Amino acid sequence: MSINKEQLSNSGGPQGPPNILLRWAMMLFCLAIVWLFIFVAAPAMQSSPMVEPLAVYINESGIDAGALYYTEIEETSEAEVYLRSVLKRTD
Amino acid sequence: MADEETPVGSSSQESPDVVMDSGKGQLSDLWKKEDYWAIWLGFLILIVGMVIFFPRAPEGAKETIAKQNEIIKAETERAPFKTVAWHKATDAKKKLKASDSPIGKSIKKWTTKPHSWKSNFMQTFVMSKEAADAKNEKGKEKYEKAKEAEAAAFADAQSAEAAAAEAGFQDAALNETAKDSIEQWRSSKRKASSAKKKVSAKPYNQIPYLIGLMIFLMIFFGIGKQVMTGDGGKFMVGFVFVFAVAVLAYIFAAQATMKQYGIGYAAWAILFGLIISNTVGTPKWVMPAVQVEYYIKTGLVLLGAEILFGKILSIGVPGIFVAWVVTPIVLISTFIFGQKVLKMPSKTLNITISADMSVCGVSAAIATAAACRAKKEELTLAVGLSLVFTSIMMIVMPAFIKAVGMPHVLGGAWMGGTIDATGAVAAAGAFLSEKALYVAATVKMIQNVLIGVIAFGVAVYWCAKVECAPGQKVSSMEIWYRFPKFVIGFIVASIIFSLMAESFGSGMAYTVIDHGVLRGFSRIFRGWFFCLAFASIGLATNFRELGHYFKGGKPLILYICGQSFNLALTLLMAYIMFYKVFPHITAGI
Repeated sequence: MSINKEQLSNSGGPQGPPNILLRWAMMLFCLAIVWLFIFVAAPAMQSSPMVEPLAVYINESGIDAGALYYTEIEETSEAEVYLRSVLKRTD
Repeated sequence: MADEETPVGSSSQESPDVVMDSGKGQLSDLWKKEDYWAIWLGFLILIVGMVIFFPRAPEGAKETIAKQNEIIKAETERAPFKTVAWHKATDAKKKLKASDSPIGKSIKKWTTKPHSWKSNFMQTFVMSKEAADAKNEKGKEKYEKAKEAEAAAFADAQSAEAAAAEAGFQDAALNETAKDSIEQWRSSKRKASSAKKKVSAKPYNQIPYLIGLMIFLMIFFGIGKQVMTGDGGKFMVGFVFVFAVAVLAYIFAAQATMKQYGIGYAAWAILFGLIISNTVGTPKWVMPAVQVEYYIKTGLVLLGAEILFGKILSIGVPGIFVAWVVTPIVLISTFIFGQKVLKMPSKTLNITISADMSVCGVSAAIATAAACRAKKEELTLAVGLSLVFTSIMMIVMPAFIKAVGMPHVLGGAWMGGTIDATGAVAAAGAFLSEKALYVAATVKMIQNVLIGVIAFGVAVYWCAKVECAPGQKVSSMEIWYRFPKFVIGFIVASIIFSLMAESFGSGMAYTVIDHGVLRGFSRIFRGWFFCLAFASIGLATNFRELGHYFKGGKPLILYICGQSFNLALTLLMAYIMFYKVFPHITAGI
């Protein structure tokens, strides 16, 4: 059950292909796929009737749909202030 | 093979897979171990944040809060619905933020992430005055229209309320009309506020600030690295590269289309790290700065401060049942299902996926993975699954709720309890209605707070049970030796900030803690630390290893089965709580 700490801490990450040209070609290929996803595939999917209205709404409202935690979006604090006032009403 | 990977939560000085009876602590651990450095650095940021923001509540904040509370109380007694004055008083309270002080704005400027862009990549760093003016001009017409619509809706709301008031609020039809008109005004106000953001662009040049932030973080983490291992210099050199990958991740997370899909920095940091490390290779000089655990643990101590236990009462008992009863049931059931039915070979992968699926996605995955010392590949896999399903659920759930005509309070609670990421929950909720947004975002926020309990519970369970050799009994001292110490910093930060928030009262806690120390300071650093951690994960991960962990598609099956159970149980609980047990709360929303 020994654990190789070297792999994470100090001595090089995973090894790519041996040929340096091939390595760079692979990186460019991967980046091209990323570019295709961002500027071709993802916008194309947005024309679907299920995706489009939400995409337009997110764009117009400026909500950060990628936020991970409640402190990263303003909407949670708005909701909290509102609901605490509502709870006072219903007490 | 899997055993040769380094766990996310392990320190560089220890990490056997089972508890041994030889563990012991030393005084030097306090300055030699990452766990303690994470605590010191995390608390340093929190203390600086408190020193900056506690004295900077807006002038007369206490009096304003008291005055607005009086108005809210009076309006509550006056009318059977939320009046215009009630909403205005609530809005006035929302504006009181210590982070809006001049120093708060300066901090934001120095720590801000790259800006949004659509097709012009350079806009993420630089925007000229001409470009800003052109952008503002483009949105002007829409803003003017939205402003006019808001003014008209406001006038309607006022006259409808006046008519209801004239009837002494005894006419049900007039009350209902007034309520609808006020809701219309709120919706128009939200649209106008969004449109205003599109005409408020200002010129900027983010490059010097990003360089300044990089130097600060380089020194900040470099000092700890120097004390721990003596290679602070090498760390600082490599840090430039890791920071650059983190910036790249933020840039792509800020791209307009990616924002609409909710694909945030975590996914991009891992992806770009993976692309670099598995093609051209991560340069050796970078590796001293590829410190996954160091960044994650420090970020988690800061996250602890954001876990304010008082938040769990924000929507009363129904919210607690939806978020704090259903979630642990789903988490434990999914873990048991993974072990007994799917027979997942890795318990750490099983619990990390169970937590990210049932609690709140990436943030829960990070905390749980660190608490149980999951491997970096396992965290990557859990994060990947969560991001994919979050995007799908964010699109499908509101469409389904609309199609079946589900009440928005129920739909909001359902989405809040099941969609993983908070931002996606808010977007899906707001897409339905303001009511759905408020319920969804609050249920999710309450669920976010559960991370503290889950991480602590998982850390204790792993030390006391999972990491034991079969039949071995572990003493409490041994559990202490093995316990990931940064979790203590995480919990202590949570307790201290929760107690402070309670003692300040909800109004002042909102002003100086939530919108001061946390949102104005520590949260910004926490975001950068997590981004650096994900970039490091990518830079150190062999893509082929990920396939090994995905063997048999078990992680995917686990996620789908767990999420299906989560969807069913959350919907049932939300229905019972909001419509059968506490219908008066639902009616008030």
